Amino acid sequence: MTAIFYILAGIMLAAACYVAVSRDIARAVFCFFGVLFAMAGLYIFALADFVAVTQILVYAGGVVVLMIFALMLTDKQLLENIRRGESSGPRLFRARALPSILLALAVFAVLLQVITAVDWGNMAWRHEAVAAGNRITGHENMVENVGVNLMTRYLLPFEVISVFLLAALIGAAYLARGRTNN
Amino acid sequence: MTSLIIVSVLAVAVLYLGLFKYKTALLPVSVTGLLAAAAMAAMDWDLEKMYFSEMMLFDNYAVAFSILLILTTLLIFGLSRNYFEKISNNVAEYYALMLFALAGGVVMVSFHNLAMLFIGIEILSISLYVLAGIRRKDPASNEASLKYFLMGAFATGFLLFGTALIYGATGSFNLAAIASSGAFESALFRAGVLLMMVGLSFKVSVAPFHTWTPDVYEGSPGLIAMFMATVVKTAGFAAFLRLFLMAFAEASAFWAITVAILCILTLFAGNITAVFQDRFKRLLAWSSVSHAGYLLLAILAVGFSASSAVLVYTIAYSLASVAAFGIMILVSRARGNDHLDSFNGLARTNPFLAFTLTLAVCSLAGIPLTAGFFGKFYVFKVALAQGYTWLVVLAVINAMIGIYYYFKVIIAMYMKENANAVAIQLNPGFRLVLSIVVFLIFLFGIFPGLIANIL
Repeated sequence: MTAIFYILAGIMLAAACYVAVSRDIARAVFCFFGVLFAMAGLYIFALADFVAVTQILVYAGGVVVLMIFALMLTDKQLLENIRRGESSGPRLFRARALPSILLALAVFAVLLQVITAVDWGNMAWRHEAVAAGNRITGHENMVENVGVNLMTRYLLPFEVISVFLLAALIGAAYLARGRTNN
Repeated sequence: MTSLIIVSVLAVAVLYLGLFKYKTALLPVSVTGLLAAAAMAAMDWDLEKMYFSEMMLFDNYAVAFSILLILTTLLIFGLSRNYFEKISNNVAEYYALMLFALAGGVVMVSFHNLAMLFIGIEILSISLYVLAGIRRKDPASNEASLKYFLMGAFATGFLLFGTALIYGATGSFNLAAIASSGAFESALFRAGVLLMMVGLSFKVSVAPFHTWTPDVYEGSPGLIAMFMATVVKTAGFAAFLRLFLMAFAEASAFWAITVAILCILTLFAGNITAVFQDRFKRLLAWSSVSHAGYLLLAILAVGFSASSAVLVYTIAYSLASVAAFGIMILVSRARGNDHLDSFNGLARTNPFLAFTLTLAVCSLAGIPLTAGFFGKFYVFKVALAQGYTWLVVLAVINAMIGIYYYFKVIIAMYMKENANAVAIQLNPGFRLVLSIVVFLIFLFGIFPGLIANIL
């Protein structure tokens, strides 16, 4: 089991690093697909099988395909120009990328500090949950659990998200409308 | 809660009006709906109602800020007659998107659960990404929209990351449960607070996460920039304070120093850069950054009537911003651009506009007898009560820098001449809204007790 986890995590990290440093957008998108797929595997390790399936359906199946479409419909000359501009400097790191590297290192430092400093097995709310029998053993029907929670405790966020989606839909329709009749 | 439902349904109703081409009905329906929403919000006063398994809490804090957001939107709608028609034929979408953004704002000031905070911020943000880019043929507007979207999406990532860590530390999204969890010492909780602070700082343009502000304000249409400076900033700070007041107040020893540093950075970045601006809209954008710094002072003083100070400050700031941005729109429309030289001789051609703008910038600068003075006064007072004397001294120095650049526009209006300036025509909506704003700035500047004791 542990071996599978490390294999998945390794695939994800390697692919993510390639996405970050790659100069070729098409290859980056395909590696991003790998990241999302390995991520779905990690969700299964966290007993979140519903999230894993959603991850594959929405991200691996939808978002990446959308990205590939966007790439195919983009002006080829434009991409060439970007690549030519990019390839004139040093290959891996350049001064322009310094702020982003610093930011990434700062976030990494925060996370590293969290990982080393927290006593994971000994958190108060975990003991309470175990004592109350409120925990997942891996044999429950998680989809039912998610559905019941969405319709009871998280009903209001669930409904308010429809306002969010409507606003996004109207915005997208407005921005994408034909330019001639405007 | 009823007001949130009314605002959301109103947005859909406005869309239907647009569908059936009742363009003249858009404004009256929106205004009536908003008045109803404000009235329904006022009915919740002192009731302290909890909704839907503690997702939202309509306490007096939520009611006061909801009413402020709704009334500010109402003032902006008063200025919007014949404004959006110049941009496009499809006017209903603007009203609908602004109403959706307002619905997000109402959620942000009344959440009692981190899930609701996230959804509220996202509803507000996604409507604004589109509104910033509504002038589709204008590259500056497109750039503003894209920049805002990318920065906003990035900030959302931090916010979500922080929310997840807080959940990991406390086992709950509920503000009351987080506050009583006793996990304030754990590294997980502290990292969560830090990341949420970064995410919220992006949204309210606190330095060093403010870099998007001037470009987005400049590229957006004037009324949308006004909406960002008033409604969005008020909602953002109300949410910021509500989160830190209701959930993280016990851990204030940990985050206070970070907020103090952010406050100093924001004050100096905003004020010093504003000195060098020669376009009024960019000047207002940088001054809005600096006002975020003053508001952070109040957040430092969590517990010591900070919410009252933030309410007074945001009321004063919103009123003055409506007037300043409104006159900026009029002048740049009549004279081609918003360069400070365009304001030359305005006192001779339009004494009313010159007087209103003078009052507005005096209020922004915090001159006595205007509402802005008491905004700064209460914020400084709560910070002093907490012992942040050195911080208040720095803030006062910044207020003096502020007076310098705000007075540049007054000097342009009263002391510089422009031989071929012609009087700017005002439509009744502008005249009414500006008169109301002048009256309220004076009223709250002379009788601050009217708003200082609400919360």
